[in-house]
Amino acid sequence: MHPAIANEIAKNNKQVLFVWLDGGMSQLESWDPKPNTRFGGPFRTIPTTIPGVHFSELLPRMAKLADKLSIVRNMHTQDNSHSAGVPRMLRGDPANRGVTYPYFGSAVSKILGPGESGLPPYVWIKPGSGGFKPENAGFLGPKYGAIAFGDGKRPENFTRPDAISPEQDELRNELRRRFSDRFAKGRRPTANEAQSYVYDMARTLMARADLFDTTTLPARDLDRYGRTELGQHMLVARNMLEAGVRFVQVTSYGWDTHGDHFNGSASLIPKFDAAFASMIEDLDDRGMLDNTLVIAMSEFGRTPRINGHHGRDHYPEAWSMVMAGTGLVPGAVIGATDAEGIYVDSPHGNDIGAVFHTWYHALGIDSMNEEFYNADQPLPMAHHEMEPIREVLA
Amino acid sequence: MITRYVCAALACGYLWIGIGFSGEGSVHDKIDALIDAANSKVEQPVAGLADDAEFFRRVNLDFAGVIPTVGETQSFLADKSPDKRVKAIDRLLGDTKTYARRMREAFHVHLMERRGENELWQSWLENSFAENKPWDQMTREIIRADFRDEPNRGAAFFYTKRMEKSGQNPTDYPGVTRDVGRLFLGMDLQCAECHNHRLIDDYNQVDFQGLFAAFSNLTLLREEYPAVEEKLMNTKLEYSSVFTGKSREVAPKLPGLNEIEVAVFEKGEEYNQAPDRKTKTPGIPKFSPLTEFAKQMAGTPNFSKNIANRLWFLLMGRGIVEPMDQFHSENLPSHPELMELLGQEFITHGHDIKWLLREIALTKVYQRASTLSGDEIAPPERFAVALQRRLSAEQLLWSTIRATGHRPDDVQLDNIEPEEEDGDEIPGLRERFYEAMANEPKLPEHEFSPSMKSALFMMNDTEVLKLLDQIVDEKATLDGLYLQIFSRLPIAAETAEWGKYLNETENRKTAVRDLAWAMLTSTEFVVNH
Amino acid sequence: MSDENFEPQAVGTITPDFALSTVRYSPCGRILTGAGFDQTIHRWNLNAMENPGDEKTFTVPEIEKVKGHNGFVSALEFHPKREIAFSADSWGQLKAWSYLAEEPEPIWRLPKAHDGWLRDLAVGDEGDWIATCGRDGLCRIFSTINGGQLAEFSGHNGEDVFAIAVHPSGTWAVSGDLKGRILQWEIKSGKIVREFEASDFYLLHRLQDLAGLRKLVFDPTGKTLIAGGSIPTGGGNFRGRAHVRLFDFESGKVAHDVVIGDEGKDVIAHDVALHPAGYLVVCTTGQSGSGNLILHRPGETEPIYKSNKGTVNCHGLALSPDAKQVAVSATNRGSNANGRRLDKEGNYPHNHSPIYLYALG
Repeated sequence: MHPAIANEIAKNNKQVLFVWLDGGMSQLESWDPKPNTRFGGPFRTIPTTIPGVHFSELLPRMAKLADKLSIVRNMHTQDNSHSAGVPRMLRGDPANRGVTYPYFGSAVSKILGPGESGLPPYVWIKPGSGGFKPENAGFLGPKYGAIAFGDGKRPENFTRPDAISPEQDELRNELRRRFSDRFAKGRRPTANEAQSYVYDMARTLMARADLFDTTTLPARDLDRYGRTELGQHMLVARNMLEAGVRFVQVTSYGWDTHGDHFNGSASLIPKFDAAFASMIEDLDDRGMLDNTLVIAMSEFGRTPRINGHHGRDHYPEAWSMVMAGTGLVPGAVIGATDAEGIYVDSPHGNDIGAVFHTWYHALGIDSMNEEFYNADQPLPMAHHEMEPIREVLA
Repeated sequence: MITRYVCAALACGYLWIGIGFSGEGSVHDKIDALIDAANSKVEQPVAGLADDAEFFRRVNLDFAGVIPTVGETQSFLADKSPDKRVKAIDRLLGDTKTYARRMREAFHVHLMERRGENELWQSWLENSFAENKPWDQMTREIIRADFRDEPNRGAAFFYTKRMEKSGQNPTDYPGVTRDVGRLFLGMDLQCAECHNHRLIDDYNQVDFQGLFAAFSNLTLLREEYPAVEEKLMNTKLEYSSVFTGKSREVAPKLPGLNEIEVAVFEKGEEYNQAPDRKTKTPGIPKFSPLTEFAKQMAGTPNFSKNIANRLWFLLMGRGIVEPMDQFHSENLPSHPELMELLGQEFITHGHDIKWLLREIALTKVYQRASTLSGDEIAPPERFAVALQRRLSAEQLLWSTIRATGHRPDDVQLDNIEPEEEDGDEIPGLRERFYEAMANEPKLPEHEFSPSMKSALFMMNDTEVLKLLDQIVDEKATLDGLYLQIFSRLPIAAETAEWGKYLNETENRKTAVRDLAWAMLTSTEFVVNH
Repeated sequence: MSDENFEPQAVGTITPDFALSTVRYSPCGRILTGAGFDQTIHRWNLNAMENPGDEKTFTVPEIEKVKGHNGFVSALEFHPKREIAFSADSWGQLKAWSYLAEEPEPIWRLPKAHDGWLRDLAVGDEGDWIATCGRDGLCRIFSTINGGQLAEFSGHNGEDVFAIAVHPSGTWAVSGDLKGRILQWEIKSGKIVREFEASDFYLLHRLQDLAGLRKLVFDPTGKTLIAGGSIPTGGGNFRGRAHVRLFDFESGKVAHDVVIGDEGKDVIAHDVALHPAGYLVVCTTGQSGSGNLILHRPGETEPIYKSNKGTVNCHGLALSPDAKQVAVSATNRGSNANGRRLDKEGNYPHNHSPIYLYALG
């Protein structure tokens, strides 16, 4: 990237919240319902704050916040499997260049940098185990991987033992730095950088134990977000964003409802509704929505066809995703599906490459003209044959 | 050309130390010649040889899996014999017990990629290295996975761990297929399962499916030892490309070789030993694709180069072909002639692992210093300077124990049983190091990429701090600390800096402990260089 | 299979053009109705059945569909004495209509009998009132004459109520919710009398509440309460074991726990009936291409009969009034598909529910 442009971008204080609903949330039970059609399912629809636009009854709070969203209803992507499909979505599915592209979070970490907080630039809050996920970074190199906090909790070995005072900790790390810097002379710097980086990060995080603690939050917040796994994790995400973390990814698992899908949706979607709506409200209240790109999506939607186990299967043909915040037109609905939700309107809808371009542009990054560099090899930032969705960019 | 190179080398402070130059024609000389030629061609400055301390630490980590003791380091540094480096290499390779443990640890991670543990597998690995079993034989034992071959039963763990089901997911036969391709043939065929590989012309769907035909024919047996059973096979495998839709069929087939003919028998005649469901004895079919694969695998085009490349990586930190599981005509080796040489010589020497490791260790390239003066950074693939290489969790465990003045026997290696019935086990040092330093399962451990977990571990883990507390000896000298932790003596500037620090401190005990901690967590300690 | 070796005889298959949630016989046995996913109620004239027992030539004429519902028609029951049917849908509507009329107009209609999914119906024994329950967490009693609301029960504290049954005496109703709480309450007063143990019919897995309780039924004497559904084990693609629990109504204790069918194949028991001969008639759905009609005598480990591949993904069943027949609404084969699978004409197809009629001994 050209140094002058890189400098400009470095001054950029934008942040990203990326909510990933793993398994495929149904667009027909959420953003693009088709009531009383062949495939409409059992639920009713409700009007939203965008005139003429309805959501499923399962999103009551988001319906009231629809005018803050940009809704893409004509997603049309390639993969209907999870194992290949999930990484393709998260890496932007560029035309294959023989390299592993970075997750959006890794890319943003690299381009916009970690910011001033001293905290890891790419934080991932997820159920299950945590740890360092270097593989997310693809060719950018392990430094841009995600640091995952399992169940949004503090990582292990988080607390300094009593026997070591803060001053002593400061001192021994200073000594470590001196030894390491001596060693780095005359040698490739990457190893030393990587080693220093994790220690600095660890120490900054240790000073912020409060980020992981939701018990001190008012009961009202805990109720609004929902006393659920996702609600809890979204509150930790809020803490992270407030603390200045550049890119926060929140994952919810268990959305692949091939069986008993309607009861599944009736349980899952309102819980997402509560957590996500609360987050949008709070970002807005705090004046952060203007500087934050908010995304909520899955790897595909679900089939209009209802299978024998009362389920819907994978459907990349026509589905929805939503975004909000910086650089976007609020209250915009992009594209449409046909009356039954089988096909998207325009010849090819919007693939994930176009969406990646859109996100980059929303963040002030010209992904059509800028490039990544993998050693000497220039690479397009997102699919080189696709464009951002102009109508949704402010 | 040679003259120009020598001049350039001298200008860089190249130091000629007798390293056992066995004369023209030795493989290690040929290796050096090829790399030197490539570097001269591009006028690449190269590092001189590593000093004794750096060499000795490196070769101990590589062949013993642990830094040397203070005594060993001192002896080596004091030794004046011109061939002490060769002797050190040979002594380490000759210490069968330690060598076998180190190789077992390295290959366990390399082949199983932290998927899980199994005693029989570990002992099979260790025995194989203790006997210096040739690699083609080790491969045969893994691929054949013959449960009747009692001493080698553990080898089946390669399959069985990968075949264990997780939740609702079906048995991961594609995963087994992919990993055999990657680790034994240097071919990652994952993207050739459903169609010809879109980017790599050499990788075809038939390559994947030919392997898959044999591996999808396996069942996991429920025995106390890892075991698989081959089912009857009397037809070829049908498959079709998702792009062309055309239906094809293939018999079990190794890439680059012909299909194995599916032998069909009369009903009732298909087994050498029929299965008995009542006694739960597995059957032995007469037609055994695994037997054929085991026989033929060493004859596949890239078999020998693949393992030679991986052994080169083990000592050099970078394969000649990178990525190591992408042998194909458009992915050129950094040194094509070298790759051919190693592959060919490895075959000539009967796939003798110890032989190849020794040859590599005898090269100048292996013994290069890790520093290079000047501003330009040498591209790693030129092997102009020794790379800073990842140390495994195992190497870090043993080295940290030694660096803090302990022996494995006097630390809590293993987990402690809980006191209450439903309490948790207290992890021992071994498990703690694995948690902090190893990758997640299925992620190869090739690069040095420390995690924040490792930093939090070294800073705050109580067992680590206990190790440090226990070495604190007020009388510890700077030289002593350097020898014990860095396996070298300090240079003058270091003596000045740290000597001053130690002398000016009020609490020498704490100062020593802090210095020791800082050394253990510095880059110098955590990488192999 | 148990020693009884009972094999229901296939009478024939009816193929409506859409998927159904369940089927019901009229009390006279003349009409078979199917509650559709297509907002309609399908009807067949059983009197005009031809060639029962001959799969190839079997026919039953379909009568005009009953329109006027929204979403899924979720429940359907009949007045015990008069020619009136009651149907409910997933938008919360409840209506009463004459089921013999060619184009039935509603006798009365409540668009908002519940706020949202009205899950189950139970008609009081005399037919004077009808009990309903729904996703709004409420149970209600309505007059069958004019649809007036007679009572409301909110003892489930807002939890989605999946099933309701009325004790033959007409004194109590029993309703069961998402969390597996089965409450017995007095119809007149709404007072909770007691709770039956079914908390294992509920599981919180990650973010998802897995509701296993699907059906409540009394035996005609009122001595046994039958709860059908699933013991859930995991979410996303609902995993669990189809299960029927029989309670001794007097003591409130569990009389029998019947594991229905096979793991993975029989995940949820959607509908349950008790045959006068004393065995359970259960229908299940499972992983793709599984689910069964199962006959199982409580107390025995093995079922009397499992339809296996004959019937897949069965959503509902009904015993004929004389209990000599059972109708099971299932699903066509190949109902699952990821991606956009089109039919031979290049259209995106919907699934339908073949109804299998069996003669029981």
